[in-house]
Amino acid sequence: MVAKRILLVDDEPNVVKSCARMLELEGFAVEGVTSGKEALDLYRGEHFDLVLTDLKMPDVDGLEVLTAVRRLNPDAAVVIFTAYGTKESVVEALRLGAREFLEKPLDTKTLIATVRRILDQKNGATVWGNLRSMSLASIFQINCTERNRARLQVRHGEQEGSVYFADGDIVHAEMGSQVAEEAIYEMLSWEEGDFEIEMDVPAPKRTVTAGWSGLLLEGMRLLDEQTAGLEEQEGTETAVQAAEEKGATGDMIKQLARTLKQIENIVGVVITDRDGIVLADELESGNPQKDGAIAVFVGNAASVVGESLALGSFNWGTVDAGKETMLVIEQPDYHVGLLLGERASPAMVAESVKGILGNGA
Amino acid sequence: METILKDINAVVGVMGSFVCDGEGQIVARLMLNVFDEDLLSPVGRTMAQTIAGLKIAQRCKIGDIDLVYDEGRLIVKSVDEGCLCILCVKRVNTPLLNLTLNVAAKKLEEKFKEPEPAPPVVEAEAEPAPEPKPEPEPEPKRRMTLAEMMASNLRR
Repeated sequence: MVAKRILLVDDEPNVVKSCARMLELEGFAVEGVTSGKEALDLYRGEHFDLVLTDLKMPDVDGLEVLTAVRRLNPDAAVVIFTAYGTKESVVEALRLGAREFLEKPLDTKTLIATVRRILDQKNGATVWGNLRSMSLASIFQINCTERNRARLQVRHGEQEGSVYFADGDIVHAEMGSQVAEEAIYEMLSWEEGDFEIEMDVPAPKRTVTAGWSGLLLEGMRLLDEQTAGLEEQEGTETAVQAAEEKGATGDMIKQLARTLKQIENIVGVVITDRDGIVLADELESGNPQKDGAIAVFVGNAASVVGESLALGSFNWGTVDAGKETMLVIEQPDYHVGLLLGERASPAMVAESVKGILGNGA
Repeated sequence: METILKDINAVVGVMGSFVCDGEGQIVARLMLNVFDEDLLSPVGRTMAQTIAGLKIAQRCKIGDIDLVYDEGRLIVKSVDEGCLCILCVKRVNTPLLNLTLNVAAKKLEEKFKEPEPAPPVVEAEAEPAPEPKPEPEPEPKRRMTLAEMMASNLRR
């Protein structure tokens, strides 16, 4: 297999030498130069799979290298690194088409991981898998929160559908003659099949304008309605029953739900896995799937907020909807949603619940 | 909107506040300088999507969302088509804060209904948070914690 060629530009010879060595040890073919002008001369005459360039350089700087390289080859992958990055230069570099912006001193692992990822994307490498191991809802969520530009192709028996992601949302979907929301809702009902995600594939058109989270919840609601209808007609097992049949784990989760329901001021309990599948519920009324979806939804939002604002570990959260307040507690493998009584103190209930969850639950 | 946010930030324990429209775009903010647009945008977008999603799921009006972390708390109030987000210390006096928020929410709803375009983003120093704990200088390349961000801002 031919080694991928990388053009490395930095006005500090030591950086060029050490980075080139690092990358060569990983199997890449590296051409290192110490000026932007040399880099452009080389790029005009030879093929490179990736350009790594310093931002601040005398004469021709990193942004100029980026602009010139992209002019010569609009598909060129360029990564910029610098010790003096300002927000303006990052924005400008990304606007001009840079794939990544790395801070100096360069961390070996980060550099190599970035190079591999970009070259994989450039090769059109796909992530593939089976819907049994990862649900479509999870795939949608990951691609939207990661703001990937990607195409997801799903095969379910004889049927095949495509979903396109960009700018943190689903922008287009098609499945046979169905397009947009209609196609998405249909695909969300597929529990089996194979999928492929190809990065950096633009959508042919935009047919979806609604936010991804609303689409997912509406899709789940429609699925619930379909499932309820089937259950009435055929006595199909519910998700809870299916989870119980998984054996000891299911029984333990069910027992946990019963235990939590005993806590003062808790009037309902729903436990879901991280994909929103209900594992157990202790609800006197209402819809376990709907309440489970709310718990997962709030838990996932809490993760994004905590990460963005560096708030540390998520303890608990509440959401007031109509006359109900749901307390949400996140565990490594599942989410717990607790419907609270009118006079409940969420903080006190959370403490009690955490005491139980910490005792081997 | 600046006046409304100033009233909220005057509550002990509040570190800053901002307002998002229904798309999650930040239309006004009064936060410590370290919480810039890049940090707040994903939060605004996520909370707007969460509220929109919950409205569909519950088929009713969504009230407050309260997220409690080791090092702080984010209280989000659904306001008309947008939301009001308040960053505060973990043990903020919530009954007191709610009194202020209920008034603020009404004022914001009126502002959202006004036909004129939204006023430009307000950037100003927030009131210093109570009980700041001086922290050592953050190590390079590690993301600052909330406490470190506050301390760093206060040292300026």
